[in-house]
Amino acid sequence: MANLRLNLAITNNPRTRPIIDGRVTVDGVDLNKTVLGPAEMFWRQLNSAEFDVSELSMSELMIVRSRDDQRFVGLPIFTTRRFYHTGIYVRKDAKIDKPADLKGKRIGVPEYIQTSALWTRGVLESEFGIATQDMTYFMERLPNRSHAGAIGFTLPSWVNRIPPDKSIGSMLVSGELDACMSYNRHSDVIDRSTVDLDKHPDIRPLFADNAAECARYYKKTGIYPINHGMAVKREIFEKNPWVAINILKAFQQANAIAERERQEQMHYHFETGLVPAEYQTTVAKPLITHGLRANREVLETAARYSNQQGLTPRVMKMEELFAPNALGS
Amino acid sequence: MANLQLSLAITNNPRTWPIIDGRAKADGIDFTTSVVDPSEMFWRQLHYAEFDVSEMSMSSLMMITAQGDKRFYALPVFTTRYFFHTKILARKDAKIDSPADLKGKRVGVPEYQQTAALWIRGALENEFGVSPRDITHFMERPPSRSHAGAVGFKAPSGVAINQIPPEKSIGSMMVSGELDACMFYIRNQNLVDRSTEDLYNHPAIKSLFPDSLAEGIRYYRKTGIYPINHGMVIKRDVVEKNPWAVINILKAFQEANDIAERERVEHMHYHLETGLVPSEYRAAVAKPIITHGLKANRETLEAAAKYSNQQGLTPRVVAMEELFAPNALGS
Repeated sequence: MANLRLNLAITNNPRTRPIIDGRVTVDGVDLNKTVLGPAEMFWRQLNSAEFDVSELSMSELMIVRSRDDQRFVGLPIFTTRRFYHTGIYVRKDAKIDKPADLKGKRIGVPEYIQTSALWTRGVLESEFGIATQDMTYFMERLPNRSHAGAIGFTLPSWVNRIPPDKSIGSMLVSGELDACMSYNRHSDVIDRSTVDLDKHPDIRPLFADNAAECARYYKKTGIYPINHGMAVKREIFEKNPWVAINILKAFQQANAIAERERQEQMHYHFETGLVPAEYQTTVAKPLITHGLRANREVLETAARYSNQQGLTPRVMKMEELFAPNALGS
Repeated sequence: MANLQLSLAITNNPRTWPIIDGRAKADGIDFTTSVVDPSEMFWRQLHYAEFDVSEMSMSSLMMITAQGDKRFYALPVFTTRYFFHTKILARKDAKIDSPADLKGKRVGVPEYQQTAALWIRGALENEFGVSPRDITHFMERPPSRSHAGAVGFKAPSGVAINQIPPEKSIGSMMVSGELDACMFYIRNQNLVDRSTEDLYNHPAIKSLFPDSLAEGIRYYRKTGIYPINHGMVIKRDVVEKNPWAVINILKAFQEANDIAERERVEHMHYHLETGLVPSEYRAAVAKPIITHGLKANRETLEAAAKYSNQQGLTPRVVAMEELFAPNALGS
């Protein structure tokens, strides 16, 4: 019997590369691959469900599942993470010296419901006592190009729209915003900011030492915030329930290749002592594992934040998000 | 016009992957690529010149160049390095506690002329005062399967090199006590080598340097040399018909190297961001160690050429201008 042909949308990173370049294949499946930036990928998927399989914003997957949107079945594959709250920038003259000073301030966000903003608000609340409604939001993406627009999400009253002739970048520079989160200046069909905030004289990161704040948060909570999960269209999953675990296995194999490659890539740096040998075992340690078990705590934290922030009417259960046959993974 | 079709033999590592998988291409050239173990690759190339382009032992290349062998031009592409002398193994009962204790001992070596052995003898002589004449060598590869056989190598005067009989190997003789030490040990299977014992985990055998990593770092800090093993070669008749191929191939490998540099940083991103590897090493991780081209590597190559002459492998110090393709000399 011929292989099942599926269209896949995917981002480009060490853990996806073995899938993209074909070193790893999915048993029984021929993938037709499109490499995309996440902002555009999620919009195309939420708006018109263009791809059979794609990465998907975990926050947005929770929202669509809570509204009984049946189009997508989650797969426990998590290709990107970051400590998103360290992505906050502030104007130097906005009198924001510490996270608590964000209260009452005007803050830009590309997309109110995006996963990085979910994590940023969640960490601001749980670590620094700033509630979601303590800030006034200005969202950049227009209704016809936003993830929220694609799924008919009604923005809360504390979220304002940035007009089409302005952007987060331009309003931060002009002083119409005090701060921003999840800033994205890689222009695509969705986002339109262009200012390089890292080089602008009036703007600085909220945390003076972002690396130290990342390490502090990780050490304290053990959480490395997940951004993207994956999803397969329900109609495909129902006709071919075996694809869920076959796709998961392929991504686990791709991840194992990335683990080996990291060590090979670091070989000369350890041998010459440029990076001390004491970190050799640390570098050999896998940080990213697919499957539900290893990631449940992080995902449940995100689900709790989603409800706390009013994005979902209840705390979503993992059983509602993921393919039933992948729940034991 | 159709691309030039060239056969390529290459080893598999982060700096060659982009060539192997086709992400980095040489302008005007289609490679037919064979991934081959170096012992076998060099033997096939020295003996039969099977490939238009291949990696090549820098030591063997210096020897054949000094002999007037005109089959190859070198390309300044250097895909593998090691602090080879830190890999010396010794029997625990052989009373070898320091490099100087190797004097008078029976020492195994896969191939006397191999680049790894050249660097090891160079370090032993210049760092620890142990001359090749102080050691009784036992070479594993027989004439029919050795690089030495392929280039008509004869033992330098005053140096004892015995042939390990076909029914034995460095591995078996280390375990039985017929050898006291070995300079370099190869147990991955290929057409040329035949040792199979896991000496690294054998109870009767130890590393000469208890902390071999520390010795490599000491040597690197002191000398600034990160010993080069493989260069590349291209057949001279290919260059004479297509002189442009030299720099196009060099550029492709430089591009592949740039990809490896970027990928190392990407691969380390999560470990640095979580603080598992402290962020103070971010700059060190991003720092390139390997650069192709002659300029960045001349000092290391000249040290190898000097050792080669000092050890009697070449009758004179071979000049870089004799080794490399003329249009790559400025690289």
